[in-house]
Amino acid sequence: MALNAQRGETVAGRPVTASPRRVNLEPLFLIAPALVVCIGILYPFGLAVFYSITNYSLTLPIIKVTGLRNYAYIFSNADFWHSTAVTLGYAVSAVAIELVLGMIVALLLDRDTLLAKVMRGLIILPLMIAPVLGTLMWKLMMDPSFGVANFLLSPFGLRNLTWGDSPYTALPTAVLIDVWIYTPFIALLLLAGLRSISPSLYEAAEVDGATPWGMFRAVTLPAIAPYLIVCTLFRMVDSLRAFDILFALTKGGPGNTLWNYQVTAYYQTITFSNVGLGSAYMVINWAIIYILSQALVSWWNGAKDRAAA
Amino acid sequence: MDHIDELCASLAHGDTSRREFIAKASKAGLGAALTGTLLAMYSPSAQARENAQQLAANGPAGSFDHKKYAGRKVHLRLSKHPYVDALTPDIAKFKELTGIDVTYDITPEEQYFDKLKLGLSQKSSDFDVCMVGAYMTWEYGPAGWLEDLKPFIADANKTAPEFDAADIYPNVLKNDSWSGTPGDLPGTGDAKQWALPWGWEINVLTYRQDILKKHNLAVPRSYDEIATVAAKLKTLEPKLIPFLARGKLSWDTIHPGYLSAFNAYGAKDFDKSLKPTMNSPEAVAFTEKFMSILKDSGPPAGRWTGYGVFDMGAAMGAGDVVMYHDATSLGFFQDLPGASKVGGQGKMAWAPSPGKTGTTGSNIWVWSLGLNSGSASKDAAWLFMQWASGKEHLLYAATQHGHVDTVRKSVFNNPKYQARIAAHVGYSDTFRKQAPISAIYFTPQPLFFTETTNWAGTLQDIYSGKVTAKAGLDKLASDVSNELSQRGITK
Amino acid sequence: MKAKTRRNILGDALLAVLSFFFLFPIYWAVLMAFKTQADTTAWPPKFFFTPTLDNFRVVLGLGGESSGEVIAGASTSIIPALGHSLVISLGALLVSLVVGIPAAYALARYKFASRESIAFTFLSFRFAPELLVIIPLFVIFRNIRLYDTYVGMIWIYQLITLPLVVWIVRGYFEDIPLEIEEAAKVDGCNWWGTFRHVALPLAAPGIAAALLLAFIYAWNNFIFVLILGGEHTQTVTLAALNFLSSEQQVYGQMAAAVLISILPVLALALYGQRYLVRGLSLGAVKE
Repeated sequence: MALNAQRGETVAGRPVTASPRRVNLEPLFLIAPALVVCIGILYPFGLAVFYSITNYSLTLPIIKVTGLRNYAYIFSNADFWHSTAVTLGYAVSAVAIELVLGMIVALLLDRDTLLAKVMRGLIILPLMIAPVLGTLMWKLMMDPSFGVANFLLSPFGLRNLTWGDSPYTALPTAVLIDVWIYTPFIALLLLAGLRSISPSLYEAAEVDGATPWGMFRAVTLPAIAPYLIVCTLFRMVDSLRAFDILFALTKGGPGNTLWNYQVTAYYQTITFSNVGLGSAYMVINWAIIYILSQALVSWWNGAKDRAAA
Repeated sequence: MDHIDELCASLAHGDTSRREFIAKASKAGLGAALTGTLLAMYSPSAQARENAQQLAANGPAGSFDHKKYAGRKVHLRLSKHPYVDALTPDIAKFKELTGIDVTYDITPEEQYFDKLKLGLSQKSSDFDVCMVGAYMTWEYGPAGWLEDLKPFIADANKTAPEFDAADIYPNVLKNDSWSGTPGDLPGTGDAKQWALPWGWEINVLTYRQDILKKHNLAVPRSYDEIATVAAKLKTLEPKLIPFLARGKLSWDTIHPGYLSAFNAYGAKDFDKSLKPTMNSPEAVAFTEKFMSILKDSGPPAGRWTGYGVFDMGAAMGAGDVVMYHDATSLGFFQDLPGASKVGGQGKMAWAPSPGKTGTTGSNIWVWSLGLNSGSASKDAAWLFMQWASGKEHLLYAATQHGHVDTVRKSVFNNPKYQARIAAHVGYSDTFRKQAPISAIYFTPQPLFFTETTNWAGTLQDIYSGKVTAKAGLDKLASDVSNELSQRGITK
Repeated sequence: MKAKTRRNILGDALLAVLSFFFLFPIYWAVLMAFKTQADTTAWPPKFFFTPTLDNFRVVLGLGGESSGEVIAGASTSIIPALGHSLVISLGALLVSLVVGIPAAYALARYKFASRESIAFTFLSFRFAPELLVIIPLFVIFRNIRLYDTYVGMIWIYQLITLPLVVWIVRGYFEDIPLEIEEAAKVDGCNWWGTFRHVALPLAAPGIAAALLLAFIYAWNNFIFVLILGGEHTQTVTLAALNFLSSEQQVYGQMAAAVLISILPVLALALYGQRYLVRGLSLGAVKE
């Protein structure tokens, strides 16, 4: 089957279809294997949603459907709103800092100096370490007795930061580790975006007398907007369901300081054996991520079109 | 059967001696176990009854067939632990003795119980034997995930004579059993042996004797004395942490020193009807004392909540800590020559568990072996369990490896073991003193981990100043009460 | 001094500070792996010390003494875990490639009613919090005997790798101007030929980038392996944790384990990082 495209009609490379009346089976053949793989995964999803409307507990053999009781309990419980605050607080801070810092690093890497060249190759290193293990390494650096981070901060008078041990500094510490691991990834992504901007656009702007900041705003930003949105999407999705770092840092403590949705679900489901309640938390978590991502993806599609214009 | 009735009657009347009875029973084709049972039932005296039971257990010499399950497979689910490091090299011996093939998997301790719980709850047949703690059996036992071992122990066909259950410290064996009725204390009522003791931890005072000597400070025997000594150390040794305790958001923060002294102060976690009493006046008083010591003479401001058990051990080993009230073996490993900065130089020492006015019994943690109810080879698994917890292996593990804190009297008293721990100041004496008087002071109930995890969170909130001790413990008590009734355990 | 040079120096200064932040912890981990326990816990922290290979010996299962205890040798080795990680991660990648690339192509080239929603469905697997599916998966895996198997782990890893492959590669396919494929058709290539000789090579950087990212995420996964894996599938991330959990917390051993665990990923990343920058355009913008 031939692809019919009208000559010249290539909006961001998307083809125009053949006559709509012809049922196109080919794409289905291509997608089918992937869908088969996925259907196997849809069943556990369904099961999880089912659990969320039951009182399923690991220690009780009988599952009783309790309808929306778990959800009612969750929404009426102050712990849930605390958990929401932690989830959103962590995600928003991490993503915002990573975007800004990533942009700065990308701009710095997009130069010709020797340091920039070397760092382009090395900056990816933090992403190589599993978040669980990276967090443990950071914990050693932050140890009150022998932590090297405390040592390096002593000249600034910050010898005794409480890092993960205080309810006030635990979340920022977790965000810090998240920033450390993922900013390089953002930076490289944005670097790819910067590289794709045609130099002629900058030249034109310079001719018009634009300042560096002006050029950034008028040329760079719009051009890499799609990249920025993609970064936001990836990091937002991952940090809304963060677990490894929070768990490895303090197992969620002190108290319930780091109990975002996943950490709460871990304790409810596995430690307290309350699978029904834990599943309900996770369904809510997933719903939030789903809605936010839909918004981001449509925004991205729009930005892609605008950037190509 | 008539002549057997006659035989028994004649035994009961003393007309037939026990020896004659055995001979005649054997001729009649009765097996050793049945003979012993009958002897027990019909023997005239208590002593005789006991002899008969011994005979039933041992049978005619050498009658236990170790190879009866040869060819079977047994899989162990283990947590990363020095006891496991001591077990794995010795497994070959078990294989040789019984012909059973043993395999195992090892999970990091922090994640071990979560993973174990999932497997047990599914009655998974992937593993037969698992490591459990006594507290875990309070959730796993009533849920039907573990086998009651009492029938196994009592069955002479399943338990080899060298097992000698009486050699295990009786309070450990007892505390590793529970009836399953919430509110019943361990070992009381119709207690089921859901776990077999393997190693235990008594919570005692571990301290730097060189530092106390240097400043002429007496070894604290109560928490008042700890408070005084720690306060003095704060000024005398500003670079060190005078007193440390576990502080992480985890159930295990509660059970070592904290709960041992809690009990000594007359506080209890629940009353007989399972009403929470961890906010009683005595409980609040002790908690305030404990937290004030940590705040005034503990780790640098705000850092207490980061200390898990291994962090604490490492800190002692690095020479940063003067005293803590925790597991006997924790410090032991730091005190091995070359293991840490202060290790092996006689600087560390052990002393009995401090209480209210003097030393007290400690709350204990019992590492045990459990038999998965989903196992397909229970008898073979039991054969492994009795061997792993038997005299021979435990002696090997205690003298050649790190399986200290033994559950068997014979191993503890063995000169080789005593020689091994002699270098550790006060270790042997403290253990000897504490072993008979220690027990589990918690009230068993299935939501033990929910209760203690929340309790740890409460302590953390008290430490950070978020709540007062009374307010925090009141909230804890009411939360626990709600949880118990919501789960249908109390009305 | 020219403005540009001055800007470059300032830029380098800032870059140096940021580079320090990102790279120092790794440097420190390397140092720690060669330190004895006493050196690791020294204060002030030691930058110069006598190195030891003991930690690596223990981690690699070569036996020997460490901190006064005779280590049992092979039973503590991290090598088997490395093998499991490799099999599972590479296996997951292979599956994602085989099923994901055709799907990406279809989603790029063919327009049909439910295209965007199917594409979004693939992406939405990435949203699944692990805890949501972990108990159902545990129950299901046990029932269909996939617990602690390579197949089971590779399958569940599709949740991680497939969305990445589909979305990144799709963008790349979209970027290929239709004229090129048209030209190939005019030259007599059928659908498969066009795909193989035109589309795939042009999308290669994107595919490489997707593979690299997917590999990193798969390699570093923690909770799936913890709950759904067992002795036959213990990956290196989990195995490294074993070195931190013993009664004697030997930090150097953990550092050594961490370093060994990142070696394969690191090798792949350093080798393929030019693709990474080139390939991460995600089809966002045409040149």
